[in-house]
Amino acid sequence: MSSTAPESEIKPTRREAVMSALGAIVGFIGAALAAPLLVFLFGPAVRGTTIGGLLGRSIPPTPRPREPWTRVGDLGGLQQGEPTITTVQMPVQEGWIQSTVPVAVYVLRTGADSVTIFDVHCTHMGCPVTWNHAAGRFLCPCHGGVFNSDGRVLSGPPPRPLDRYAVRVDGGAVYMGALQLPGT
Amino acid sequence: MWRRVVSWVDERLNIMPLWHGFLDRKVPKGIGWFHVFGSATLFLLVLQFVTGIFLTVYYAPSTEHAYRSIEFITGQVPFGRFVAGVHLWSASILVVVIGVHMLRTFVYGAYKYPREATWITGAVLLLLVLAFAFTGYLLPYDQKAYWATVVGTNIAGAAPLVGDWALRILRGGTAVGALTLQRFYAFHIWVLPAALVLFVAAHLFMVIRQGIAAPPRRWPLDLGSAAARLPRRERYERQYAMEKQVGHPFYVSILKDAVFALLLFLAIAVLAVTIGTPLEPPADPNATSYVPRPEWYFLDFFQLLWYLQGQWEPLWIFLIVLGVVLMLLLLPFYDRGPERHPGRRPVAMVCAAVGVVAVMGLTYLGGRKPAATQAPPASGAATAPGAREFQAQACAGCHTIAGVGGTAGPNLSHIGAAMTRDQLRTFIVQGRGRMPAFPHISPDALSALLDYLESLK
Repeated sequence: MSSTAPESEIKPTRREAVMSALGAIVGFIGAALAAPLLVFLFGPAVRGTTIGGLLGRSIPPTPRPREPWTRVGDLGGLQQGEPTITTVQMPVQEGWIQSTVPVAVYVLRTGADSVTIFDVHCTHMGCPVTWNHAAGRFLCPCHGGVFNSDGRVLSGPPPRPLDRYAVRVDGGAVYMGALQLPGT
Repeated sequence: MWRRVVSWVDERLNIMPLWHGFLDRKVPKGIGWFHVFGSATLFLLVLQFVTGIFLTVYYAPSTEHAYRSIEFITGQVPFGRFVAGVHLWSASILVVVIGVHMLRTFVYGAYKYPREATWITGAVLLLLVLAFAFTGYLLPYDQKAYWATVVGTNIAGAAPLVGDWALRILRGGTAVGALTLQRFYAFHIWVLPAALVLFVAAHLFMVIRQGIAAPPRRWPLDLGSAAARLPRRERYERQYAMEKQVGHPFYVSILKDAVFALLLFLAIAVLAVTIGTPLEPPADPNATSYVPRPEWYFLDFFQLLWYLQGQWEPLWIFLIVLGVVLMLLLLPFYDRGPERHPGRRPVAMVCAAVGVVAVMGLTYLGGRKPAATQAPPASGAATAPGAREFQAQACAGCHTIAGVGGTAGPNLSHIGAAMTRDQLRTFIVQGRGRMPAFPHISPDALSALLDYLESLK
């Protein structure tokens, strides 16, 4: 056994100084590593987003289109007044993946040249809404949200009307554009 | 042979005194079957780790391959059904066992001085396990996985100011897809286990360092009149020393822990082999007739969303989640009374009972069969035309008749006795409050519906 220094010879001030230096070095390395790592983790996801309001909101989980406009179909085939579920082949970009995926939307012809395209997700929590022909309503199976054919909320917890896509009608063909979220 | 290995190691590291000190240390009297849930939690966590590590050998975290790789594990790999089943079922049972462990700790007042930090690390562990559950069940990438993640991430989006960020950070953007699956996998396999190990280590260190809390006494031990002037720490130490004097060695308790772990393991193995891992069809973002349901341990919260309405709903969701989390984490700081015996803490016991009943009640309500938003196929000519109309109009989405239907609106099983035909007509055509108006209903359908509702007495 080697002899240990007597109590009086341990200098607490020296120990504290070493610990402070250690803390500063660990703190520096930690911060220098944490900042890039956090941006690495969160940066791409939150790019272009600003701080929100006092009330949060749901966002449809649909992938965003790679092209500004995607062809939906012919105007002629659309029935007036009755939303129709239509699957659009949409070129999308997710991170490193470029693909064309089917995206379901409700298409409603509202006039001779006018069309509305709804996202299929309830604005409450994102469950898929169903067009119930007999009731003439969009119904959400999760918490009883009810929307009319214009996408307006009639009952239940949804905080806003059904989300819509930008629409362009050109030479008898219908195109859909970006999803129009309120507040963006 | 084994003895020689042990003595070889011990001669170098001098470990036996530590080992015997750990096993032989006295624990207070009354540490019994109610205390097995803590060690059972640890056992189930180990089971999760081991089966989880082996599952990564075959599981592929990509939207193209995830579902098929799970099918391969459960269908082709020898014992795949067993390994995946043990992972799934021990996760479910883990949630229950943690709940009972926390309830036992609460009833025994074991979170009070000097064990506040043990409770806080335990509460963090509960949150970590729920995060494991949430990230874990996206991984099979079936319908339930996809839609529960859509809903779950939208709940995060309800947070004020930072909701959008929280939602996008969880999803890896705005879409639920390849990026979401990849980061849920990273969190489930790396981030959460790392955090879990840290907090389990801290929790266990505290439990062993401080010793297991003695079961509360209605009449505290008599320390003598001089003790009243002692500092709190010293009073506590004297009391705990007296408790240990009448207690038993720790190794006696371990047998109970082991027996309970064995029973849990057998139950999990039976569930894994008989029920296995139920998979829904592959995730389909375009399945508009799918009815999303979360895993059972989130059903209570899912059901709660029925009752929150109106413009301020997102704020309510946020406040409720934040409130519950803070209530759990900060319990030892707002409940600082010295009493530990449940008989002397009536308010705390009532709060616990209300909490348990609320969680179980909401889980039950949320777990009932969901109402249909589309008319089911005609169910034979015997059904009254009005009943068919009731189905076709999806009234059952909100209203229950004879035990079938939703709970958002009033139960209509006896509505014919409560309202006249005219009142019913006004309700349907004009709506009122949360009941939406249905002005475009055809006269024939309306009259059939009114006939049917009137007949319900």
